[in-house]
Amino acid sequence: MRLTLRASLIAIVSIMAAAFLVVIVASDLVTSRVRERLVEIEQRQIPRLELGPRIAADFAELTRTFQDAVAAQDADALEQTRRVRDRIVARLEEGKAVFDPAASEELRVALDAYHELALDVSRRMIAGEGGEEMIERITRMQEAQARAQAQIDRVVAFDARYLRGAFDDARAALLAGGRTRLVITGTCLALVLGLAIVFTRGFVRSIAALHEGFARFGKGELDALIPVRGNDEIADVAAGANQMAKNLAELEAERERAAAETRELLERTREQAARLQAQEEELRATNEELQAQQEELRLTNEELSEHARQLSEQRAELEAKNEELRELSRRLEQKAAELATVSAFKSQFLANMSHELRTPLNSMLLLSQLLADNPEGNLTPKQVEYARTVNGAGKDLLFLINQVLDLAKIEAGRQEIHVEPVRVEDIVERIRRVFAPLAAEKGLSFDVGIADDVPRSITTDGQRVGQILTNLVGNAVKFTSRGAVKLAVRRPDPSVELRTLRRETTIAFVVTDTGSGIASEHRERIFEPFEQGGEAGNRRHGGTGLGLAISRELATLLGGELRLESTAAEGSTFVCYLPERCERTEKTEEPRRAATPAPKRAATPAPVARDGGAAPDDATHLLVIEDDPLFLEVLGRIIGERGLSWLAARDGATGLRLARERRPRGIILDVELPDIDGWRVMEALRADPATASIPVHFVSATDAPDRGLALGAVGYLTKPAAKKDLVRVVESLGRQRAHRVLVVESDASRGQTLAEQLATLEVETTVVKSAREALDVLEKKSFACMIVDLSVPDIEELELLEILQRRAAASQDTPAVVLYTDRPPSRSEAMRFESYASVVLDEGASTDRLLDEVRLFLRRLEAGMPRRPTPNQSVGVRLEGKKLLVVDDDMRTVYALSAALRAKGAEVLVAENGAVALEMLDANPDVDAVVMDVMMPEMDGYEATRRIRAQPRFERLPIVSLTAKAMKGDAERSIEAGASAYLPKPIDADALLSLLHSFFTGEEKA
Amino acid sequence: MRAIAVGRFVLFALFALLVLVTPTHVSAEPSPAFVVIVNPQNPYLALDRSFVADAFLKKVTRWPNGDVIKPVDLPPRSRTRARFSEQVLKRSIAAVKSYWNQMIFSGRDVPPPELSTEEEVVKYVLTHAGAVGYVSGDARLGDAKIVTIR
Repeated sequence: MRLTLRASLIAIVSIMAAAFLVVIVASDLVTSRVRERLVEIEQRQIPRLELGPRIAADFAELTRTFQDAVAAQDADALEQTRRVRDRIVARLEEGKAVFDPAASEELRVALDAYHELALDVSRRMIAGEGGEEMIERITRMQEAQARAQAQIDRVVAFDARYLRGAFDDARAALLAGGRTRLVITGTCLALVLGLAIVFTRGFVRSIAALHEGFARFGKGELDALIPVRGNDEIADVAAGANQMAKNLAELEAERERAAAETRELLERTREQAARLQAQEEELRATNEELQAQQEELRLTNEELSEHARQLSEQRAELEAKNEELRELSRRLEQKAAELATVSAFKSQFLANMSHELRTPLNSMLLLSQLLADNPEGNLTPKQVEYARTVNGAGKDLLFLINQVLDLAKIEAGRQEIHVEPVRVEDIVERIRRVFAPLAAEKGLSFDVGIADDVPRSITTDGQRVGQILTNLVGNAVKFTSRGAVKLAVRRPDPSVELRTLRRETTIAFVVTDTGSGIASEHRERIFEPFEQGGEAGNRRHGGTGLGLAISRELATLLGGELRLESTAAEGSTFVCYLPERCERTEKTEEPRRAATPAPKRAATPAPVARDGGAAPDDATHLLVIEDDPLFLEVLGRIIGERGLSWLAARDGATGLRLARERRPRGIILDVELPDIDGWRVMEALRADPATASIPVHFVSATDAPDRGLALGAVGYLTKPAAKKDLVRVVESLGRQRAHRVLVVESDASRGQTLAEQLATLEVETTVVKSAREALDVLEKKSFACMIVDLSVPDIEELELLEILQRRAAASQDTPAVVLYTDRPPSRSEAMRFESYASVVLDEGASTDRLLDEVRLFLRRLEAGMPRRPTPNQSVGVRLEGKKLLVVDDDMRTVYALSAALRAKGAEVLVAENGAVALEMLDANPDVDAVVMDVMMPEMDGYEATRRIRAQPRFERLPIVSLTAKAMKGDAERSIEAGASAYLPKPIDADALLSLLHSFFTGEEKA
Repeated sequence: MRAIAVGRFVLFALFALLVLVTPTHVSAEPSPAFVVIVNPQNPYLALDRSFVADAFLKKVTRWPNGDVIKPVDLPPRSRTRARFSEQVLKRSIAAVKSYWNQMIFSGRDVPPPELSTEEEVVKYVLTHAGAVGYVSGDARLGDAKIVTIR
């Protein structure tokens, strides 16, 4: 066996490990004994230690309880002592495991004995006994008490002794263990040390021999071998070293031979170097040739730069051409602008056309109405019937013209859309309510449905969507004679290819019917104006064929598409695809707000021109918050000229204070102020309920109208401002506080839209949802005008109207009533409505028209005329003795109007244009009223009106403007010119008569 | 003159009435509320008040000559005891009771026996050599010896 190094090391390590193991086991044995003792102490002694004092304490409590009971003379309290005794017994029971059972039993007996005696003694003491026997009893009791106490002490003392014993045991065990460990550890250490010394000595000797051998090799004595001793790894190393020394000796001999060869090689290299030098010489010659070639290259380069110059010249030419092109495109743009103008001309032309069409229609309607009324009773019933037919046809024609106008408006981009969040359910429900009765009348079933994945609300113009759907569903009902009409709202089918819309954000309104359907050859043309599904269809169903064209334009306007999916004879399906969010919000909202001019104060003179500019009610009309004294002076002059009183504030704080104290009609506000800026002033004004409703107009050099309007200003004028603009601002702010208009509309979004549009009239609008609410509101405030939606008339609304009518009869303060409805009212309904309302607007009446009507009423109010030209009074209207001037270039109208007016007993003068009218008025200053067309040759109605108003004697002369153009703005223009009222053409004879009547009755009252 | 005679009579009558109405004073020295008595063989004639008090509260248990003191009490409702308690023990009967109560239940001592009549007390004193008791001033003492309280 070889005693290797590794074996020796392992042996030593294992002996050490074994020794450790012994030590560990031994100490574990010791500790376990100690641990046992400790556990015993913990489990037995410690509880005993704790219980002992507790029992002692309880015992003390027992005696105290007795004492207390006796002191209190309370025999019942003695029962308490039983409880305390039981507790001690319970503790003894608890400590059964740890107490000496005999001692514990003795204690219990002693305790019971004491308790019995103490009870007896206590009772007697309470009873008041005190004799010698009593003293004996007490003594006995005290003995028992002493015994019990001693027993307790014994238990506790016993524990202490026991505990000490346990501790002594544990300590002895610990000490003994320590000694054992010391002996074992010492023995092991000695053993290991001995072994290590023996082993190391042999090892060191071998290493020394090895070291000596290597030292000799280093000196070159390669043949001096190292003695190999023993049989371990060092012996192996020695043998290896000897082998290496032998090999080294051989290598040395080899090296000697190689050195000789190297010397020979060196010689040969020197020869080759000489040859290389010769070659270098040749290379230099070649280099010179190369230089010559470079020169040639330079010349070529110069030629090239010449070319480059020519090129840049060509580029300049090109640029010139470019310039021309740009010029061309500029001209193109100009052309485009011209085209836009032409387009505007076109819509203007259409508007004029409609006027031209309406004028003859006017006389037709008027005369046929007159004939149908048969005032002289000389017509046969047949003839009256014919007259009615003519009248009806005329009305149809008017409807057609209105639709053409609508289409023209959309195409001219003048149709405004009003985008806001709308509930899909509301739209659909509205359609259902309108058409369900119509469908039922025709025996069709009408279903509506909204798919689950359609969002609850979409952002679009709800009214336009309603218009589209009304059209589609109306058509479906009209062209279906049997079966069903369905309206479904859902996501588009995946198979449908949408042009611009994204499927995920698109909603499809699908209208399906089981009607005659539309042949494929008509599919494309159906959306063109005046096209219908075949000529025959047209004849049978009537209608203009404009509805679909308008619907498609509206759909496009809302960013969507309108499509037809139909099979002839199987019914048709119209699908209107609309985006969830209509993207034109910004575009349509902004210009409207900015562009709506405050309606100007018209010719009726303001009732405020008083001396010194003091207002009649002693109120401040205007407050100007402005720090520029020059500008203040200018403004002051303008305000003073208008007979308005005013106050100036040089800083924001003063301004706010004055606004609160004086409550001016309007405030002109600058932005740059010395203390707080105008924006903050504006916010403060709006935040205070006292000033929140005062209109504020910014006039500032800071160009930020958006911000001002966003804060709720009525307008924003940028300095430097033209005087006429300032005049406008002052007049609009200085006019009387707005009239109040009440809107009764069950559809909240429509109500909101109406309110917003009414806001442009500078009226205070209140929107209520039901007739009940309306009555409440009417109790509290008075309103100039009330607008009622009767699309879905319900009992309450009709009742409301009746109540109002009764009030009016009792000459109470009642508003003028404007009714409007989505669908044509039945004959009986129409009659009923007309009896209630001043104006009834039905199917196709636009919001513009509604606004016009409201404006008309407000005008009448301002002119001091009665609020309510009682309808249907025209039958009884008498105009005897009244001299009227009718100004119109169209003789047919003149004839028709004169006939109607003369029939009522008025004297009628006629003028064919404004100039003639002025002459006639000069000649007949006693004219009672003027009826003036606005479109006339030579001098138009606006100009004529203005000139009439310029004469003081005609300041209060009633002038009724006849406007044919239903375009927005006509009404405003005529009012601006000074007309007292206006009527749209064609003229409703009744309306004109009642209007005139109201003027005269109003005059008489005044 | 007649009027003067009438006036004198009235004065006299008033005086007589005054003399009659005034209560007669007891001229004899009043008997004391209580007396402290001891066995005739007891050598002491006078005792300090505090010694008597300590004896009744058993704060001292032996006479100066080494005999055991055996105090004896009257019942708590006795007026004599009340006086004695107030004047000698300087505390109320209730306080004394409470004191004994504590002594009893802490196992330290027992109160003096309470004998129901003064005769019994006298008898007790006569039959127990180290006894000390108290009775009302007018009780029959027999051979019992009164000690003066200083």
